[in-house]
Amino acid sequence: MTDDSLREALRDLIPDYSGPVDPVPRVFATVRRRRSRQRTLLAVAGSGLVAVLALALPALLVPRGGSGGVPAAAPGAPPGPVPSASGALGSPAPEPPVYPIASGTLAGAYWAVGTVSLGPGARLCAVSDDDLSRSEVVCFDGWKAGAAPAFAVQPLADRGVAVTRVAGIASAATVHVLVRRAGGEPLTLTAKQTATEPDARFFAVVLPGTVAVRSVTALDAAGETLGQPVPDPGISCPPPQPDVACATR
Amino acid sequence: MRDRATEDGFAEFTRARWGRLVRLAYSLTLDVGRAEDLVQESLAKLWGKWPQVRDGAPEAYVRQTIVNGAISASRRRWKGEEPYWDLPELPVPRGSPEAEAVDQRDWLRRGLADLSVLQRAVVVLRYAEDLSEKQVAEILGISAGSVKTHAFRGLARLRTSGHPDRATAEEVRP
Repeated sequence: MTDDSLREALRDLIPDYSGPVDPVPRVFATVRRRRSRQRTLLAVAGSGLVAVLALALPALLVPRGGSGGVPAAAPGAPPGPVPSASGALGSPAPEPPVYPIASGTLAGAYWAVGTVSLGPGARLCAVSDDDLSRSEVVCFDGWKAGAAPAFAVQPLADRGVAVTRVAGIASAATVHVLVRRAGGEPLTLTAKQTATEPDARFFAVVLPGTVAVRSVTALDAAGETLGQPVPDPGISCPPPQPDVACATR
Repeated sequence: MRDRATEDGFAEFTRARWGRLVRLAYSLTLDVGRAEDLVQESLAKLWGKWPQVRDGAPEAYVRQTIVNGAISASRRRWKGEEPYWDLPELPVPRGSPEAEAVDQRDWLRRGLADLSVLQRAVVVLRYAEDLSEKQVAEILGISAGSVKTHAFRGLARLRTSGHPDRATAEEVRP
Protein backbone atom coordinates (compact mmCIF):
# COMPACT_ATOMS: atom_id res chain seq x y z
CA MET A 1 0.00 0.00 0.00
CA THR A 2 1.44 3.34 -1.03
CA ASP A 3 1.40 6.45 1.15
CA ASP A 4 -1.21 7.99 -1.14
CA SER A 5 -3.55 5.02 -0.99
CA LEU A 6 -3.14 4.90 2.80
CA ARG A 7 -3.99 8.59 2.95
CA GLU A 8 -7.07 8.02 0.86
CA ALA A 9 -8.12 4.97 2.86
CA LEU A 10 -7.74 6.81 6.17
CA ARG A 11 -9.93 9.65 4.94
CA ASP A 12 -12.51 7.17 3.73
CA LEU A 13 -12.67 5.26 6.99
CA ILE A 14 -16.25 6.35 7.74
CA PRO A 15 -17.58 7.33 4.33
CA ASP A 16 -21.23 7.32 5.31
CA TYR A 17 -20.93 9.50 8.41
CA SER A 18 -23.58 12.19 8.34
CA GLY A 19 -23.51 13.36 11.97
CA PRO A 20 -26.10 15.47 13.72
CA VAL A 21 -28.11 18.01 11.76
CA ASP A 22 -26.56 20.71 13.89
CA PRO A 23 -23.77 19.86 16.33
CA VAL A 24 -23.91 23.24 18.09
CA PRO A 25 -26.69 22.36 20.58
CA ARG A 26 -24.76 19.21 21.50
CA VAL A 27 -21.57 21.14 22.14
CA PHE A 28 -23.31 23.72 24.28
CA ALA A 29 -25.11 21.07 26.26
CA THR A 30 -21.61 19.73 27.04
CA VAL A 31 -20.32 23.21 27.92
CA ARG A 32 -23.18 23.61 30.37
CA ARG A 33 -22.70 20.16 31.85
CA ARG A 34 -18.97 20.79 32.33
CA ARG A 35 -19.65 24.15 33.94
CA SER A 36 -22.23 22.64 36.25
CA ARG A 37 -19.83 19.84 37.23
CA GLN A 38 -17.03 22.30 37.93
CA ARG A 39 -19.28 24.45 40.10
CA THR A 40 -20.45 21.41 42.01
CA LEU A 41 -16.88 20.33 42.64
CA LEU A 42 -15.97 23.83 43.79
CA ALA A 43 -19.00 23.95 46.05
CA VAL A 44 -18.21 20.57 47.55
CA ALA A 45 -14.52 21.43 47.91
CA GLY A 46 -15.38 24.81 49.45
CA SER A 47 -17.90 23.44 51.89
CA GLY A 48 -15.51 20.62 52.74
CA LEU A 49 -12.85 23.15 53.61
CA VAL A 50 -15.27 25.17 55.72
CA ALA A 51 -16.43 22.00 57.43
CA VAL A 52 -12.83 21.00 58.19
CA LEU A 53 -12.14 24.47 59.57
CA ALA A 54 -15.35 24.41 61.56
CA LEU A 55 -14.31 21.12 63.14
CA ALA A 56 -10.67 22.05 63.60
CA LEU A 57 -11.01 25.61 64.90
CA PRO A 58 -12.95 24.87 68.11
CA ALA A 59 -10.43 22.17 68.93
CA LEU A 60 -7.62 24.65 68.45
CA LEU A 61 -9.40 27.32 70.43
CA VAL A 62 -10.57 25.18 73.33
CA PRO A 63 -9.07 26.73 76.46
CA ARG A 64 -6.40 24.62 77.98
CA GLY A 65 -6.42 24.50 81.70
CA GLY A 66 -9.54 26.72 81.75
CA SER A 67 -7.80 30.00 81.02
CA GLY A 68 -8.30 32.29 78.03
CA GLY A 69 -9.58 31.49 74.59
CA VAL A 70 -13.10 30.94 73.38
CA PRO A 71 -15.26 28.91 75.71
CA ALA A 72 -16.07 25.47 74.38
CA ALA A 73 -19.63 24.59 73.52
CA ALA A 74 -21.55 23.11 76.35
CA PRO A 75 -21.41 19.31 76.33
CA GLY A 76 -24.48 17.85 74.69
CA ALA A 77 -25.38 21.09 72.97
CA PRO A 78 -26.52 20.56 69.37
CA PRO A 79 -23.91 21.42 66.82
CA GLY A 80 -24.52 24.65 64.98
CA PRO A 81 -25.05 24.72 61.25
CA VAL A 82 -21.96 24.38 59.15
CA PRO A 83 -21.91 27.14 56.61
CA SER A 84 -21.04 26.18 53.09
CA ALA A 85 -19.07 28.25 50.64
CA SER A 86 -21.88 28.33 48.14
CA GLY A 87 -24.74 28.56 50.55
CA ALA A 88 -26.02 25.19 49.34
CA LEU A 89 -23.94 22.22 50.29
CA GLY A 90 -22.87 20.40 47.18
CA SER A 91 -25.87 21.44 45.18
CA PRO A 92 -25.19 21.50 41.46
CA ALA A 93 -25.33 24.73 39.55
CA PRO A 94 -28.69 25.24 37.94
CA GLU A 95 -29.32 23.98 34.46
CA PRO A 96 -30.33 26.67 31.99
CA PRO A 97 -33.84 27.78 32.89
CA VAL A 98 -36.60 26.06 31.00
CA TYR A 99 -39.77 28.10 30.52
CA PRO A 100 -42.86 25.95 30.10
CA ILE A 101 -45.00 26.46 27.03
CA ALA A 102 -47.31 23.48 27.01
CA SER A 103 -47.97 20.27 28.89
CA GLY A 104 -50.57 17.58 29.18
CA THR A 105 -51.22 13.88 29.58
CA LEU A 106 -51.45 11.39 26.78
CA ALA A 107 -52.10 7.66 27.17
CA GLY A 108 -51.53 8.13 30.88
CA ALA A 109 -48.10 9.65 30.33
CA TYR A 110 -47.20 13.19 31.21
CA TRP A 111 -45.62 15.38 28.53
CA ALA A 112 -44.18 18.84 28.73
CA VAL A 113 -42.40 21.18 26.36
CA GLY A 114 -40.52 24.29 27.37
CA THR A 115 -38.14 26.78 25.84
CA VAL A 116 -34.48 26.94 26.63
CA SER A 117 -31.46 28.85 25.47
CA LEU A 118 -28.40 26.62 25.36
CA GLY A 119 -25.86 28.94 23.76
CA PRO A 120 -24.75 30.25 20.41
CA GLY A 121 -26.60 28.68 17.54
CA ALA A 122 -28.98 27.13 20.04
CA ARG A 123 -30.78 30.09 21.59
CA LEU A 124 -34.31 29.54 20.37
CA CYS A 125 -34.94 25.99 21.42
CA ALA A 126 -37.89 23.92 22.51
CA VAL A 127 -36.98 21.17 24.90
CA SER A 128 -38.99 18.17 25.99
CA ASP A 129 -38.28 15.99 28.94
CA ASP A 130 -41.21 13.82 29.76
CA ASP A 131 -42.60 10.32 30.01
CA LEU A 132 -43.25 9.98 26.28
CA SER A 133 -39.79 10.28 24.84
CA ARG A 134 -36.18 10.91 25.65
CA SER A 135 -35.13 14.48 26.24
CA GLU A 136 -34.90 16.29 22.96
CA VAL A 137 -34.02 19.79 21.88
CA VAL A 138 -35.26 21.40 18.71
CA CYS A 139 -33.75 24.78 17.91
CA PHE A 140 -35.09 27.41 15.58
CA ASP A 141 -32.12 29.71 15.38
CA GLY A 142 -32.54 30.15 11.63
CA TRP A 143 -35.89 31.80 12.30
CA LYS A 144 -35.87 35.62 12.13
CA ALA A 145 -38.04 37.88 14.30
CA GLY A 146 -41.29 38.71 12.54
CA ALA A 147 -41.00 35.86 10.05
CA ALA A 148 -43.66 33.22 9.38
CA PRO A 149 -43.87 30.38 11.90
CA ALA A 150 -41.23 27.68 11.80
CA PHE A 151 -41.96 24.33 13.34
CA ALA A 152 -40.89 20.75 13.64
CA VAL A 153 -43.05 17.66 13.64
CA GLN A 154 -41.50 14.70 15.40
CA PRO A 155 -43.11 11.28 15.28
CA LEU A 156 -41.96 9.45 18.42
CA ALA A 157 -42.32 5.98 19.77
CA ASP A 158 -39.45 5.88 22.28
CA ARG A 159 -41.50 4.59 25.19
CA GLY A 160 -43.72 2.24 23.25
CA VAL A 161 -46.46 4.78 22.60
CA ALA A 162 -46.65 6.32 19.14
CA VAL A 163 -47.13 10.07 19.42
CA THR A 164 -46.35 13.13 17.34
CA ARG A 165 -44.81 16.18 18.89
CA VAL A 166 -45.26 19.54 17.18
CA ALA A 167 -43.18 22.45 18.41
CA GLY A 168 -42.53 25.77 16.79
CA ILE A 169 -41.86 29.47 16.93
CA ALA A 170 -43.86 32.42 15.62
CA SER A 171 -43.70 36.20 15.58
CA ALA A 172 -44.41 38.36 18.64
CA ALA A 173 -47.80 39.40 17.23
CA THR A 174 -48.99 35.80 17.28
CA VAL A 175 -51.44 34.88 20.01
CA HIS A 176 -52.60 31.53 18.70
CA VAL A 177 -51.60 29.17 15.94
CA LEU A 178 -53.94 27.04 13.92
CA VAL A 179 -52.55 23.58 13.28
CA ARG A 180 -54.21 21.76 10.38
CA ARG A 181 -53.63 18.05 10.34
CA ALA A 182 -54.56 15.23 8.05
CA GLY A 183 -57.66 13.40 9.21
CA GLY A 184 -58.61 15.61 12.13
CA GLU A 185 -60.12 18.89 13.18
CA PRO A 186 -57.79 21.90 13.15
CA LEU A 187 -56.25 22.59 16.52
CA THR A 188 -55.82 26.01 18.03
CA LEU A 189 -52.78 26.32 20.24
CA THR A 190 -51.75 29.19 22.43
CA ALA A 191 -48.50 30.81 21.40
CA LYS A 192 -46.57 31.74 24.52
CA GLN A 193 -43.96 34.35 25.15
CA THR A 194 -41.14 33.22 27.38
CA ALA A 195 -38.01 34.83 28.76
CA THR A 196 -35.98 32.87 26.24
CA GLU A 197 -36.84 35.36 23.49
CA PRO A 198 -39.17 38.33 23.96
CA ASP A 199 -39.57 38.81 20.19
CA ALA A 200 -40.96 35.35 19.63
CA ARG A 201 -43.86 33.18 20.68
CA PHE A 202 -43.51 29.44 21.10
CA PHE A 203 -46.11 26.73 20.71
CA ALA A 204 -46.15 22.99 21.22
CA VAL A 205 -48.49 20.05 21.42
CA VAL A 206 -48.22 16.28 21.56
CA LEU A 207 -50.81 14.33 19.60
CA PRO A 208 -51.68 10.65 19.80
CA GLY A 209 -50.49 8.46 16.93
CA THR A 210 -48.46 9.42 13.91
CA VAL A 211 -50.04 12.58 12.66
CA ALA A 212 -49.35 14.43 9.41
CA VAL A 213 -49.46 18.17 9.92
CA ARG A 214 -50.63 19.99 6.82
CA SER A 215 -49.96 23.57 7.87
CA VAL A 216 -49.56 26.01 10.72
CA THR A 217 -51.11 29.48 10.57
CA ALA A 218 -50.33 32.33 12.92
CA LEU A 219 -53.34 34.18 14.38
CA ASP A 220 -53.42 37.55 16.12
CA ALA A 221 -55.43 38.54 19.22
CA ALA A 222 -58.57 39.07 17.09
CA GLY A 223 -58.21 35.65 15.50
CA GLU A 224 -57.14 37.14 12.17
CA THR A 225 -54.51 35.27 10.22
CA LEU A 226 -51.02 36.69 10.20
CA GLY A 227 -49.60 35.75 6.81
CA GLN A 228 -50.05 32.60 4.84
CA PRO A 229 -50.38 29.12 6.31
CA VAL A 230 -46.96 27.50 6.53
CA PRO A 231 -47.03 23.98 5.13
CA ASP A 232 -45.24 21.19 6.91
CA PRO A 233 -41.99 20.95 5.00
CA GLY A 234 -41.85 17.27 5.76
CA ILE A 235 -39.84 17.83 8.83
CA SER A 236 -38.87 15.47 11.40
CA CYS A 237 -35.70 15.22 13.32
CA PRO A 238 -33.91 14.07 11.19
CA PRO A 239 -34.09 14.88 8.23
CA PRO A 240 -32.95 18.49 8.26
CA GLN A 241 -34.98 21.56 7.60
CA PRO A 242 -33.20 24.84 6.78
CA ASP A 243 -34.23 26.77 9.88
CA VAL A 244 -34.61 23.92 12.34
CA ALA A 245 -31.91 21.99 14.12
CA CYS A 246 -32.49 18.90 16.17
CA ALA A 247 -30.49 17.25 18.88
CA THR A 248 -30.88 14.76 21.65
CA ARG A 249 -29.52 15.75 25.03
CA MET B 1 -20.30 37.20 29.07
CA ARG B 2 -19.53 36.81 25.41
CA ASP B 3 -21.16 38.80 22.69
CA ARG B 4 -23.34 37.41 19.96
CA ALA B 5 -20.68 37.77 17.25
CA THR B 6 -18.24 35.68 19.33
CA GLU B 7 -20.86 33.01 19.84
CA ASP B 8 -21.84 32.99 16.19
CA GLY B 9 -18.21 32.68 15.15
CA PHE B 10 -17.79 29.66 17.39
CA ALA B 11 -21.04 28.11 16.15
CA GLU B 12 -19.91 28.57 12.55
CA PHE B 13 -16.54 26.98 13.32
CA THR B 14 -18.26 24.05 15.02
CA ARG B 15 -20.61 23.40 12.12
CA ALA B 16 -17.87 23.70 9.51
CA ARG B 17 -15.37 21.42 11.25
CA TRP B 18 -17.59 18.84 12.98
CA GLY B 19 -17.46 16.18 10.28
CA ARG B 20 -13.73 16.47 9.76
CA LEU B 21 -13.01 16.38 13.49
CA VAL B 22 -15.24 13.34 13.99
CA ARG B 23 -13.33 11.57 11.22
CA LEU B 24 -10.07 12.35 12.97
CA ALA B 25 -11.46 11.18 16.31
CA TYR B 26 -12.89 8.07 14.70
CA SER B 27 -9.55 7.05 13.22
CA LEU B 28 -8.13 7.27 16.74
CA THR B 29 -10.97 5.62 18.67
CA LEU B 30 -12.48 3.41 15.93
CA ASP B 31 -15.91 4.00 17.42
CA VAL B 32 -18.35 6.60 16.09
CA GLY B 33 -20.06 7.17 19.45
CA ARG B 34 -16.76 7.71 21.25
CA ALA B 35 -15.50 9.87 18.42
CA GLU B 36 -18.53 12.14 18.63
CA ASP B 37 -18.25 12.35 22.42
CA LEU B 38 -14.58 13.21 22.13
CA VAL B 39 -15.21 15.93 19.58
CA GLN B 40 -18.10 17.28 21.64
CA GLU B 41 -15.89 17.47 24.76
CA SER B 42 -13.00 18.97 22.81
CA LEU B 43 -15.17 21.66 21.26
CA ALA B 44 -16.63 22.43 24.68
CA LYS B 45 -13.06 22.93 25.93
CA LEU B 46 -12.30 25.05 22.89
CA TRP B 47 -15.23 27.31 23.79
CA GLY B 48 -13.47 28.10 27.07
CA LYS B 49 -10.39 29.25 25.12
CA TRP B 50 -12.21 30.68 22.13
CA PRO B 51 -11.37 34.38 22.75
CA GLN B 52 -7.67 33.52 22.94
CA VAL B 53 -7.44 31.07 20.03
CA ARG B 54 -10.11 32.11 17.53
CA ASP B 55 -7.75 34.40 15.61
CA GLY B 56 -4.89 31.95 15.80
CA ALA B 57 -5.27 28.26 15.12
CA PRO B 58 -8.48 26.99 16.72
CA GLU B 59 -8.43 23.82 14.65
CA ALA B 60 -4.94 22.98 15.84
CA TYR B 61 -6.07 23.50 19.44
CA VAL B 62 -9.09 21.25 19.09
CA ARG B 63 -7.10 18.65 17.15
CA GLN B 64 -4.58 18.50 19.96
CA THR B 65 -7.38 18.16 22.52
CA ILE B 66 -8.89 15.29 20.54
CA VAL B 67 -5.58 13.46 20.24
CA ASN B 68 -4.79 13.93 23.93
CA GLY B 69 -8.30 12.81 24.84
CA ALA B 70 -8.01 9.68 22.72
CA ILE B 71 -4.62 8.82 24.23
CA SER B 72 -5.83 9.40 27.80
CA ALA B 73 -8.97 7.34 27.20
CA SER B 74 -6.92 4.45 25.83
CA ARG B 75 -4.79 4.45 28.97
CA ARG B 76 -7.78 4.18 31.26
CA ARG B 77 -8.47 0.60 32.25
CA TRP B 78 -12.20 1.08 32.31
CA LYS B 79 -13.40 2.45 29.04
CA GLY B 80 -17.08 2.33 29.83
CA GLU B 81 -19.80 0.46 28.07
CA GLU B 82 -18.81 -1.71 25.13
CA PRO B 83 -21.91 -1.98 22.99
CA TYR B 84 -22.07 -5.03 20.79
CA TRP B 85 -24.52 -6.17 18.26
CA ASP B 86 -24.55 -8.41 15.24
CA LEU B 87 -24.43 -6.44 12.06
CA PRO B 88 -26.55 -7.65 9.18
CA GLU B 89 -24.75 -9.00 6.16
CA LEU B 90 -24.18 -6.28 3.61
CA PRO B 91 -25.95 -6.95 0.33
CA VAL B 92 -22.77 -6.18 -1.60
CA PRO B 93 -21.71 -8.65 -4.26
CA ARG B 94 -18.23 -10.02 -3.66
CA GLY B 95 -15.60 -8.65 -6.03
CA SER B 96 -17.53 -5.44 -6.75
CA PRO B 97 -15.84 -2.06 -6.15
CA GLU B 98 -18.19 -1.52 -3.18
CA ALA B 99 -17.16 -4.82 -1.66
CA GLU B 100 -13.51 -3.95 -2.16
CA ALA B 101 -14.02 -0.63 -0.44
CA VAL B 102 -15.75 -2.38 2.48
CA ASP B 103 -12.88 -4.90 2.69
CA GLN B 104 -10.35 -2.11 2.57
CA ARG B 105 -12.05 -0.19 5.38
CA ASP B 106 -12.42 -3.33 7.44
CA TRP B 107 -8.75 -4.15 6.98
CA LEU B 108 -7.70 -0.63 7.89
CA ARG B 109 -9.89 -0.59 11.01
CA ARG B 110 -8.43 -3.88 12.16
CA GLY B 111 -4.93 -2.74 11.32
CA LEU B 112 -5.35 0.53 13.22
CA ALA B 113 -6.81 -1.35 16.16
CA ASP B 114 -3.63 -3.44 16.32
CA LEU B 115 -1.39 -0.38 16.60
CA SER B 116 -0.49 1.22 19.89
CA VAL B 117 -2.43 4.42 20.46
CA LEU B 118 0.70 6.50 19.86
CA GLN B 119 1.49 4.71 16.60
CA ARG B 120 -2.13 5.17 15.53
CA ALA B 121 -2.05 8.87 16.39
CA VAL B 122 1.19 9.35 14.45
CA VAL B 123 -0.08 7.49 11.38
CA VAL B 124 -3.39 9.36 11.39
CA LEU B 125 -1.87 12.78 11.94
CA ARG B 126 0.87 12.23 9.36
CA TYR B 127 -1.24 10.63 6.65
CA ALA B 128 -4.88 11.59 7.17
CA GLU B 129 -4.19 15.09 8.47
CA ASP B 130 -1.09 15.70 6.36
CA LEU B 131 0.88 17.19 9.23
CA SER B 132 4.64 17.40 9.20
CA GLU B 133 6.76 15.35 11.60
CA LYS B 134 7.48 18.52 13.53
CA GLN B 135 3.78 19.37 13.88
CA VAL B 136 2.94 15.83 14.98
CA ALA B 137 5.79 15.96 17.50
CA GLU B 138 4.41 19.20 18.94
CA ILE B 139 0.89 17.80 19.25
CA LEU B 140 2.01 14.59 20.92
CA GLY B 141 4.75 16.16 23.00
CA ILE B 142 7.42 13.79 21.67
CA SER B 143 10.53 14.32 19.57
CA ALA B 144 10.51 14.36 15.77
CA GLY B 145 12.72 11.27 15.90
CA SER B 146 10.08 9.42 17.91
CA VAL B 147 7.45 10.47 15.40
CA LYS B 148 9.58 8.98 12.65
CA THR B 149 10.03 5.75 14.59
CA HIS B 150 6.32 5.42 15.44
CA ALA B 151 5.35 6.17 11.83
CA PHE B 152 7.81 3.59 10.49
CA ARG B 153 6.72 0.87 12.92
CA GLY B 154 3.05 1.72 12.57
CA LEU B 155 3.15 1.55 8.79
CA ALA B 156 5.18 -1.65 8.83
CA ARG B 157 2.63 -3.24 11.13
CA LEU B 158 -0.29 -2.03 9.05
CA ARG B 159 1.30 -3.44 5.89
CA THR B 160 1.74 -6.85 7.46
CA SER B 161 -1.74 -7.02 9.00
CA GLY B 162 -3.45 -8.92 6.19
CA HIS B 163 -4.21 -6.32 3.57
CA PRO B 164 -7.17 -7.47 1.42
CA ASP B 165 -5.02 -7.27 -1.75
CA ARG B 166 -2.61 -9.80 -0.26
CA ALA B 167 -5.42 -12.07 0.92
CA THR B 168 -6.90 -12.07 -2.56
CA ALA B 169 -3.52 -12.88 -4.05
CA GLU B 170 -3.08 -15.77 -1.61
CA GLU B 171 -6.58 -17.06 -2.30
CA VAL B 172 -5.99 -17.34 -6.07
CA ARG B 173 -2.55 -18.91 -5.68
CA PRO B 174 -2.72 -22.53 -7.00
